[in-house]
Amino acid sequence: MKSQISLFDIGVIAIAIVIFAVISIFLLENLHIFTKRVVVEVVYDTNEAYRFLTSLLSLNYTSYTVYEMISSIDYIDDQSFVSFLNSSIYYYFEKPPICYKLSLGSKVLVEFKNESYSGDCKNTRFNAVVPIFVPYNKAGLVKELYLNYER
Amino acid sequence: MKGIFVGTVLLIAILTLIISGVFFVVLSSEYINLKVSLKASEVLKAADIVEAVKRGLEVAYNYSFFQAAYEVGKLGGYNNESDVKEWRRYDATYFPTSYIENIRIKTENFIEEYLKALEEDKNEFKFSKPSVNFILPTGEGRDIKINVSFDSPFRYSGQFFTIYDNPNRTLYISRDFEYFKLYDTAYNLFIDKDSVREDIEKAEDELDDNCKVIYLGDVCEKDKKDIDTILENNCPSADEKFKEKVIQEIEKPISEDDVNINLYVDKIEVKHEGREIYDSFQESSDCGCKIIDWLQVDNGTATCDEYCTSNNYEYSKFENNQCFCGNCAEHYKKYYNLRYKYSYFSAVRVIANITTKSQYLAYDATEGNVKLRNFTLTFNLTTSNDYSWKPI
Repeated sequence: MKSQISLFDIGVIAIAIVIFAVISIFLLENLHIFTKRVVVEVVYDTNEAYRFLTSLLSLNYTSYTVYEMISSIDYIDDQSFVSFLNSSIYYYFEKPPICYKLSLGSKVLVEFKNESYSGDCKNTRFNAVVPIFVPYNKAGLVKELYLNYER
Repeated sequence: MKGIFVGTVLLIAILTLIISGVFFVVLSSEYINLKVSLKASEVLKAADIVEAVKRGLEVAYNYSFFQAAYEVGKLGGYNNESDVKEWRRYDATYFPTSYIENIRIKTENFIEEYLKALEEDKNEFKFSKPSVNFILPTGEGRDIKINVSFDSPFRYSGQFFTIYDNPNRTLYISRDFEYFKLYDTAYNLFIDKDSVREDIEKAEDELDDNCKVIYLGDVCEKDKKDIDTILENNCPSADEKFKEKVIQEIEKPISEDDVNINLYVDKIEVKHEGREIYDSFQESSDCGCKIIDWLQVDNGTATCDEYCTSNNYEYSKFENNQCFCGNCAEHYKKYYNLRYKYSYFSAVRVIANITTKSQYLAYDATEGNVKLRNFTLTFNLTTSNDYSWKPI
């Protein structure tokens, strides 16, 4: 058997191993980078809307926070606050968004749709929902605040 | 040739091993990474939800305080309808000194309701029992501190992680919050003094003079008329007039610095008492004779009347074939400068509504809705301008 494997064969095998080892290292490295990017994107995308919603609630509008204004929006008619909300959401995006919708329970607070967008901006890639305490009443003390958008 | 063949087979085998190994490593690591990233995403999402709830806690505590203040105010400073007492019963006063404590208890209950509602809405949350503590300022111009504290941190339990955070908060309610002025104003008006009694007295003062004093001049005792008849002739339906005046005076709206005061008469009783006043009460011949001293006489052939007149008697009478002459032994008396003076009394049960000028969001169980409302302090009181007379 020994005499059957020539020096040439050993050379070919060695070169093949070296070539594939180099390719494998690059391939692994590329895939690793790819995976890292995917992971970051997944984490970022799924949390972007939550971060956005939480920071929106922390904004101040006159002497009240946006949280206080939203929670009592059923009882206070303040059109300038709606404009404030609209601009706060719209200018959050670097480029004009495709659509966005902010709703408290079933009530839509602000909504925007790009001309090219025909959906209802409901089942969007970016979405978040947080509980909001509303003024004391017997119907319910907590409502859901939804933020949906596509960019 | 054979060597090249063997080499090629080996090469393919090695290549297959390397490729499958690489794919295995890459795919499994990608899967693990994806799983890790999804878990990380869950944690981050939960952290944002917790953050939103944390921002809301102070808002919920505030709503609880305002609702408690509204409800306690509507019950006159008490917690339950069964505890409600009149603030004044004639000269006895019952100020609800525990109104701050009642607001505290209600605030605590409402906060608990809010947190229960959150726990029902999001099962991941768990709060311990809240405890509310009011710290009243001792100096001027400082805020009322409301400490909301819990035995333990609240918990958000995810599928594979738990977030703990601090739900304790301190609220600052300005001492200028009009609501507390409702109690201060009410205390000054209805406990410290009896402003309703003053209103009744004022109503009496404002009655027409002819309902209060009737000047009759000099009147013979036999001509004197009943004190109530004279009143009815000079001031018809005097009690009704007084009643109207009292209601008008009490229900006159008052506006002070930060509060509006509205009183409604729920029940009213009125009466008057008359008394006569005169300068002197003496016999007067003008008023006629009260007692005649008769003397039987023999009038002879003259008529009885002629006989008595000729003998300087003032009076004569012929009875049973006998003539009697007489002089006046006592005249009727006369009241000099007689006047009737009337005093009026009223006892009232009053519903007091003292309201803030500003409006705050509150839920009203009777109306069943939430809206901006003026906070009201409502209570009853019963009083009169004569505490010894208690008809209500």
